[in-house]
Order: sequence, then C-alpha cells, then structure tokens
Amino acid sequence: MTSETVLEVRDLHTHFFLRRGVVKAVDGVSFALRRGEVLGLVGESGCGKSLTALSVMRLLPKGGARTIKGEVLLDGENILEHTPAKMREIRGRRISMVLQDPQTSLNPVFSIGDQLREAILRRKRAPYTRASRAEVTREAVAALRRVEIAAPEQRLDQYPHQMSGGMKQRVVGAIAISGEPGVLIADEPTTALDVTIQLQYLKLLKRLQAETGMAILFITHDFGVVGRMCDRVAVMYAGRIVECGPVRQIFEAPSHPYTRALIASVPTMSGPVGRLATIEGQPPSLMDLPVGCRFASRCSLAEQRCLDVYPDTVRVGEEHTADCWKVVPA
Amino acid sequence: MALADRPPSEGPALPRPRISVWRFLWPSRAKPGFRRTARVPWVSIAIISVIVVMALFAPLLAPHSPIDQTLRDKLLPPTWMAGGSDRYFLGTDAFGRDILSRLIYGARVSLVVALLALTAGGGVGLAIGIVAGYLGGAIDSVLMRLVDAAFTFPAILFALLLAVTMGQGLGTLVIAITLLLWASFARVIRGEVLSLRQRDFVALARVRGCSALRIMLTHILPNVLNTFMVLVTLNIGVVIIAEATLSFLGAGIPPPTPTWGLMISEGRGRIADAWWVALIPGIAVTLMVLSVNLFGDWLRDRLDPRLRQL
Amino acid sequence: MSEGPPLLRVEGVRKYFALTKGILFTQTLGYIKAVDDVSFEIRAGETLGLVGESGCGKTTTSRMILNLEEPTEGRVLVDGEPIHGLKGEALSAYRAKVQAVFQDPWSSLNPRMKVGRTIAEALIVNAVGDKARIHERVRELLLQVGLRPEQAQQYPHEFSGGQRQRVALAAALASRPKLIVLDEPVSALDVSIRAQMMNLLKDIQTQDNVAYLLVAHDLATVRHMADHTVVMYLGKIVEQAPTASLFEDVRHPYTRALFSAVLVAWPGRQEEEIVLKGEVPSPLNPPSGCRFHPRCAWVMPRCSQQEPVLREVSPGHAVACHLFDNA
Repeated sequence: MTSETVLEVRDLHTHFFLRRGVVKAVDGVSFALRRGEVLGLVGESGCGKSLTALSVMRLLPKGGARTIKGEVLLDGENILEHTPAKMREIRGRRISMVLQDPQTSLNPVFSIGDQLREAILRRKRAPYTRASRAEVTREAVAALRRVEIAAPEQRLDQYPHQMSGGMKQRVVGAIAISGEPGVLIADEPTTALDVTIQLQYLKLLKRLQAETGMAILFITHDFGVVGRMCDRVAVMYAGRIVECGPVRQIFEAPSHPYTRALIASVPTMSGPVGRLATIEGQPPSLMDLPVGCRFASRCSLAEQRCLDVYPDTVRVGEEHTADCWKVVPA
Repeated sequence: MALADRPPSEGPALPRPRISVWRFLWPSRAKPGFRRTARVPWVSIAIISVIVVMALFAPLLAPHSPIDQTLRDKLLPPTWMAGGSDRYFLGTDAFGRDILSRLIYGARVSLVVALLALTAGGGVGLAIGIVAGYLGGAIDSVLMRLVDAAFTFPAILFALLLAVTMGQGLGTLVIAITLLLWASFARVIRGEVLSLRQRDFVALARVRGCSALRIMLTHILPNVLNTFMVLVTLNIGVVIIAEATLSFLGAGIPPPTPTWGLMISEGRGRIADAWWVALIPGIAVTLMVLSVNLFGDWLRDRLDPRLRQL
Repeated sequence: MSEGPPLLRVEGVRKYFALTKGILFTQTLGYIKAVDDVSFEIRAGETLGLVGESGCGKTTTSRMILNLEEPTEGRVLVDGEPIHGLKGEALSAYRAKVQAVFQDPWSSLNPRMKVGRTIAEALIVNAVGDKARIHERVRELLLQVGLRPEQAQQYPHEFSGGQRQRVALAAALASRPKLIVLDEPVSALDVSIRAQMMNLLKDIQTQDNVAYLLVAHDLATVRHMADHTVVMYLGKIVEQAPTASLFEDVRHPYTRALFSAVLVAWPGRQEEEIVLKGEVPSPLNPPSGCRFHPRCAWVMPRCSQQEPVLREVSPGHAVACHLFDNA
C-alpha cells in the first residue's frame, strides 16, 4: 500500500443556519484518504457522516447548510475554492459518489443504457453522434460487465423498475466509476440490500478497487461491513471524528470510550449470549454542543476536565489517534 | 386532477413537523426555523377579513337599503366621476339601488352559500373518500365510478334543471354546488387515505381490536383533516364563482336579493354606458377569489406540501 | 418443555397472491406464492426467530398470525383454536392475546394521537376497566418500558426513534398478551439504541412470560433473542432448530450462505465464505424441485426435480435438503 494521500479533509465545519439556531452537524472533521485504501466513516444517525461526504462533494442540501471553515484537498488542490463549473468537471471524473437508496439514485423514466451513456459522454465531453453511438454503447456494455451484470446488452434497454435492488445498485456503481475517479465516496451503499446481496456488492467493490486503485471513503453504521471492507476506520460522534486507526486495532483495542461502548453493544455471532452493553443517554443537541468532550455526559470515565475542555487528539499507536483525556498516549 | 387518483408517494419516514390546523388563524406565530415557509399572504388575509366583516355586519355598514328602489337616482356613476353623487359612493344601478350596499349584502349570500355548500359537498366528499379509500375493494370501485360519473356530469345544466323543478333559492343553489364539489373532495381524500392505510399504525390498530369504523374515525380522519382544510380553502373560490355563475344564469338566488353574480347579470346589458353596475361586483368577485386562492396556496404549502400537484 | 397444546401453532399455511390484469374482465396471470406450506409452533414464554431475506415470506407469515391476512390454505391456532374466521367475543379474546411491534417507529404511531391514548387503545376498545384503571395501567406500562408517565400526554413527534419503539411496545403490552409478533423491532434503530431495546424485550419476557415471534433478517439479533430459529427461503422453511444448535451446526446450503454473508465484525475471523450466485428468483415462478437449487453450490441432479422435505437430522433440528436424505 502506498501512502500517497489523494483526499485530505482539514478542520471541516459545515453548519446548518436555521432561524432557530445553528446546527453544527460537521464541526471540525479532519482525515486523510490514501490511494488504494478503504477508509470507513462510522457513526450513528445524526453524527454528521453523510454531511461530511456531501461537503466534500460540495453537494450540500438546500436550506441553510454551509461549509464555513476548513479545506478539502483533492490531489493537493483545495476544491472548496473551485468555481461551481470547475466542481462539475471534477465530480464524476475525479471524485464520485454512490448513495444508499438505489431506488432514488436512478431516474425512473430513462433506460439503464441512456443513463450510462450520458455518464460516458459527459466524461468524454463528446457530442452524441451517429459515429460515437456504437462506441459509447460498447463502453456502456463494458461498464455493466465490469459490475458483473449478466447479459449486459439486454439490460441496456431496461428501465430501473425492471431490476432488483442489488442490480440497480450495481448500475449506480457502474455510472459512478465510469469516469475512472480517484476517489469514490460510498454512503451506506448496502444498507438497503439483503445480506447475501450485500456480500456480493462488497466483493464487487473490493475487486473494482483492486483493479483501478481508487480510494474509497465508505460511510456506514454497520461494524460488520467495516470489518469486511475497510483498511482504516474513523469513528464519528456529534460532528467530530473521535477515533481513527487501522481496523484491526480499532476492533481489538478501541481507545475512545465511545468506540468501546459502541462495539460492545453490537450483538455478536459468537461468544456468550446475555445482556448487551448499552450506552445510556442521548447524544448532545448539535445546536447546543458542550464545550468539553461531546461524549462526556454519557461516559463512565468522565471527570471534570472532560466537561470543561475538548480533549486533544492523542496518538495511541501507529496511525491510531483518539480524542480523549483518559487515553494514555503511546 | 387526474394526478390525485394516485396516492401521493410516501417519502422516507422523516419526522414531519406538526402544525395545528388552527395555526393558520395566527400565521405570524409560525414557529421560527420552519425553513420553507412561503411569505404570509397578508393582502389576501386583509381582503378576506374585509369581506367577512362586510357580511357579518351588513346592516350596520350599508349606507342604504340594498333592495329599496329610488328610480330618480338610477344609474348614477361612482362619486369620483362626473355626475356622481356624494350619497352613492359606488354609484347606483338601473333601479337606483346603491351598489355599495348591494355589494355589502351580497357578500353575505356568497359566504352563506360557500359555508353551506362546502360543509355539505366537502363533508360528503370526505366521508366517501375515507370509506372508499379505507374499505377498498368493490365498495371503492363503485364509489369511484360514481365520482367519475359526477365529473362527466354537466353541473350547470343540472343546476338549471334543478332551478326549474325545485324553483330558485338558496336550497337549490347549495344542492347544485354540492353536487359539483363532492367528487373532487372524495377523489383527493381517497388518495390520501390509500397511502395512510399502508402505514403501520393502521395495521396495529386492527391488531389492537379496533373496528373499521373506529379506525376510520380515530386514525384516518384526524390525519386527513389538514388536507381537508386545504381543499376547503382552495374550493371557496370555486363556490363563489359557481354561485355567481348560477345567479347570473338565473338559476341562483331570485332577485331582488343582492348577490354578486346577480349584480353582474343585471349590469351586463349596460356595460357600454353604465359599466360600473357590472364591473364593480365583477371586481369584487375577482378580488375575493384571488385572495382566497392565494391564501389557500399558502395554507397548502404550510400544512401539506405533498398536495402541491393540485 | 411444557405439555398441552402450544400457544401458537401454524399448520401447513400457504398464502398465494393472485396477479391479475384488467379491471372488468380480470385475467389471472399467475400466483405469487409468498408462503408455501409453512408449519411451526411457539410455546408460552419462548421466542421463535423467523429469519430470511426480503421476499422469503416471513412478513406475510407474521401477518397471517396477526389475522391481517387470510391464509389461502392451512390453519393458524392460538391456544388450540383456529384464529381465522373468528367473530365477536372470540375475536376480541384472540386480539388481546396476540399483539405486534413493527419495524418502522415513524409509521407505527398515529401522529395525531397522544401516545397515552395509543397505549390505552386496546383497553378502551375492549372496555377493560374504567377511566382511572386505564390511566393507571398506561402509567404502569410507560414505566415498564422505561419512559416517564407524564409522557403519555405527548405526541409521537416529540419522541426519538428508540422512544417511539418503546411506546409501540407499551401499546402491545397493554392487553397483557401471551404472544407478541416483533417484525424487525430493532433494525431501524441505531446500534446503541438497538441494544437497549433488545435488553428491554428480554426483561419484559422474563417479567411477563410473554412469547415472541421475532421476524428478523439479522442473525446476530436472532441469536441473542430466540430460543428456536426458523430459516425461510422463497416461501418455504429450509431449516429449523433450537437456536444454539443451529448456530453451532448450520446444515442447509442456504443457511450456510446466509451465515457466511453476515459480516462478522471482527476482521479476519471468517472461516468459510460462500458468495451466492445471482439473486432470489421471482416467487411468481419459483424454481422446480428445491427452490434454492439454481444458486446452490452443492446442487445435484435430483434437486431440480424433487422437492426436499423437512427432515430431522438431530433432535429438534430439521433441514429441507437432499444432501441429508440419507442421514
């Protein structure tokens, strides 16, 4: 694995400015994504993981969301400073995205072929002429074959409703990687799929990654998926990454109390069956974040300092960091 | 309207902001932070209020009797025109009746008709929509074919027929307009109920042992009331125009009772020399319908964004 | 376990949905065999896990047990009495015995009804006790599921997903049921909330001796909750066993694939990995013979011709697969 960084996010702040207050959904997120690796971004709903992805893509939802601080460096250039036109150039070619719901990711009134051809033409910046038609169709077939769709020639003329969820998600994937992007953001791509189909899809993503060397930012709430998919994992809580490190280390020796509690609360497929560990209480309101550690109110180890000052990022191992006062630095 | 036949698609289960049906009475108290609030239509609200006040306090506000004829003063133009009299602000009609006073009393008729017809037509439509949508099956098929039939029915022709057989009057008018309205209410409400019926709380109510009637009354009805209120507001304009049209055609309230439609009808022959007789009630109808529709649009956006296709 | 008739008995239940075309002259294009000859039992106080992927018929089965659907064939018996076709008093008595909690906490509660009223509904409908008694029971139920009594006056939108699921559970418990159908009760919840809910369900089972039918796709949840597990594929039971023995000794090729697909959280802990070919076929035209044979790695010639029957391979552990014909 080379350690060449393709995407680096530094101190990203994306807030919702509403009339009743400011929702600090992403509040100081930093991470780096290297070529050819899968970085998992894990957290519970409302922790800001999806909004982080949308901030990177610069596709913030309408209605008051703004990135107010930070840098998003794609191959070293800060894409937050790009014009919208430049950004459109980048999306699909250098950075691409797959969303959770294949149902809504495809346009129901266009055939699979049309939607694929559009993506291919956009990448080539070519007009759709009689001459290019055959070639584009050939490429579309190749793209479908690449995502392991059987009989791709026949599939081109089908519409999304004629395909199963897993199949649609493959098509979405084919469109996303048709521009050979260096970075793919996958936002819960398998959550809507059945487990056996999920496994097929994850295998496919892994294979495609091995072929193209793209980096994947894999957003999920499922630790099982993380274990199978990711090289490194970043755990998010209330708008911040609280712990980041290699998957093995995070699973075997989680440092941050939140990560520890979260992993302990997942029902397992082996070991004793008994009461599950739980995390009492609720995450803090993103409109009224505590000054200290955001997990302090639910943390069994919390002391006065945790409530007063946000902890420094501590190195607990090689490439393994945690934001916690109670963690002993390596 | 054809779109209403399809149940509106259910998005992902997002927490929907709860907005009381009655909040629209005090729009300024709308909760802050409601992102997509359309601008409150203050002008519409003002116009509607003026008309409602006119209707309520007609005897106190009208400077003259709306019926008594003063033939000596016939066809006087409004005050501000050459030949206008200070006594008749908006002029007089062919019988020397004060147009302002007739307008004020006419608002009464319009509002009474609107209230009765919307209660009757809306109520019938609401009930049929809920029954058809919840029970489904053969009952739904029969009721919806009835709705289709009602849509193809020439309502105005029927109203004229009714006027001939039953005689002119408020009752005839209300029945005619009810027949015009119920079907569109039934169709929209049924679509709403079809999607509500799929929600888990309805199945759970059955599991708890609720009867169909109980589910319709306690689970379905409260959840379509928002839609119903929006429909009512959006249809006030329809009713006012229907009343004016029928009165204009002579199938509505018999003269000399002033209604806006009747006033237009009476003035239409003199539009060239005494335009105000027809134009002033015409402007009143336009303003009223426009205001009510703008208000209804706003209310729809506030209460039920899913109805935007209407 | 205990003698006498089981609390719930599902006997050879089938549910076919007719697929029709046209309005006036309807033409039946075929039947979707959502559930095809399913039988199992639940005894008082125990939990049965019903596992499978979407379209396997687990939800349709649970809806038949809840009397929300009529079976095309077969019977469902509660306390030895068939539940379909019940009327009046008998129907009310059955309704009080069998309750449900569904997956989506946002759709399970009437948004225009105070949660206290929702919880009390089963009592009001069956006219159990006077106002004060019902009020007291609602209070008790809210405390039992870990909410505050004064929250009875709130509307569902004031609750989080996890809290709503607790309200739904309180409403299900109101009539003191003997069986609660839990249809994916935790899958819409966040990981940490999921654990709270599972613990709560277990506590309530211990307190009230209520039986659960746990419909789930997540094997780990089933492992932690269920005493017995039934695995379904395309409307049929492919394997059933006491949970502990199933998780120790998975037999049916589909169940094995399912277990393999469950992403074991700890990286590198996976023993065998079976990636299934293709997708679940349409229940409109299920494959001949064993319905799993087109995707099976151990397929044999007879699998496409002869339908395997459920056969006991060890005490309590039954498998429908030709691989075990001679076992």
